[in-house]
Amino acid sequence: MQVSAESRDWSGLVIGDQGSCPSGEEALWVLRARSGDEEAFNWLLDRYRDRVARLAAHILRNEADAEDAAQTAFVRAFRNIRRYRGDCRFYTWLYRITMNECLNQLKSSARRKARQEEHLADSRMWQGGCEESSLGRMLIEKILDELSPPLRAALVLREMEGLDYTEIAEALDIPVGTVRSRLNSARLRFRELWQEARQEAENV
Amino acid sequence: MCDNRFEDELERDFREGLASLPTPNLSPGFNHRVMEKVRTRRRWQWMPLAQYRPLIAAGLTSLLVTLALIHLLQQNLGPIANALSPAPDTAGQVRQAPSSDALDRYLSGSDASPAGLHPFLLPGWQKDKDGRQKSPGE
Repeated sequence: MQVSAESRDWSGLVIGDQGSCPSGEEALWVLRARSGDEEAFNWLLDRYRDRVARLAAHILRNEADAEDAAQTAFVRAFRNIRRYRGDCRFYTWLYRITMNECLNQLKSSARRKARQEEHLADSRMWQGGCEESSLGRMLIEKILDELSPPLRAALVLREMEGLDYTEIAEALDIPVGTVRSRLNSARLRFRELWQEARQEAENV
Repeated sequence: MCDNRFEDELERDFREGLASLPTPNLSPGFNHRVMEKVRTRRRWQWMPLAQYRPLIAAGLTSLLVTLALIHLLQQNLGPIANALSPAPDTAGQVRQAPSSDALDRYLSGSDASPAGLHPFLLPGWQKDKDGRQKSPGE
């Protein structure tokens, strides 16, 4: 079934087999969730929990905050699941909610200040001992620390979650061209850091 | 050739770096906590509202209509109520309604002239120039 031949079920949810609509099994679970079925909520939680938490962790650069953000994002998504019209993939919609929640947390300066020390300790611990990690890992960590949260999100969504440009644009609510330029910036920055690191290694 | 190798290594490190990023370990009971919050909302907001929305709407509408009617009635009945309430006399005292004792005394007494009825008249009723009783509206 083509996207153009998509069907709209009784509740107004667009269902398709490919493209940007939820498809097959997931669409059925989303439908059940829309009617308040707890089993469906749990299915969606199991399917997307780790991905949402990972996105939040890389945007916030803190594991504890990431769990809070992921929890709030799921609660918001489930409470407002009737607003999900099915015109984009469910995870794109979920990522958008997660992204907004992460940005809200970052904006909360009071919270940030209170957790600053905890964050530093947690960040070091969570990054898992950079001494033992590869050059690539260290550079990626450095880039993630340098980039702004929306840039980080674009990088994670593209390179870790495997979303295409259109899906990232939907999730971040930005034009596709902006997604391309943000990803290019991230890659260029990685190249710069990588070259510097290689030169340093050669000099030593 | 060298450029290609450089690009390959760069790409490999980039991919490796991304792949080696950790996934946070969510604490046990994550699903339960989410569902608990969703359930609380459903218990207090979704279900009662969905089930009783027509009833609540009807109740609120009738309350508003009743309040509006009371307000209108108060506005319209105000002048009538004022007219019926005891008016202060010239000395600023509220005139007392005649008691049944006074009426008995009048009936058994000799003064049966219209002027003798004066204490029993409703407040606001006055005599005109010719001595006839005049209602407040006249």
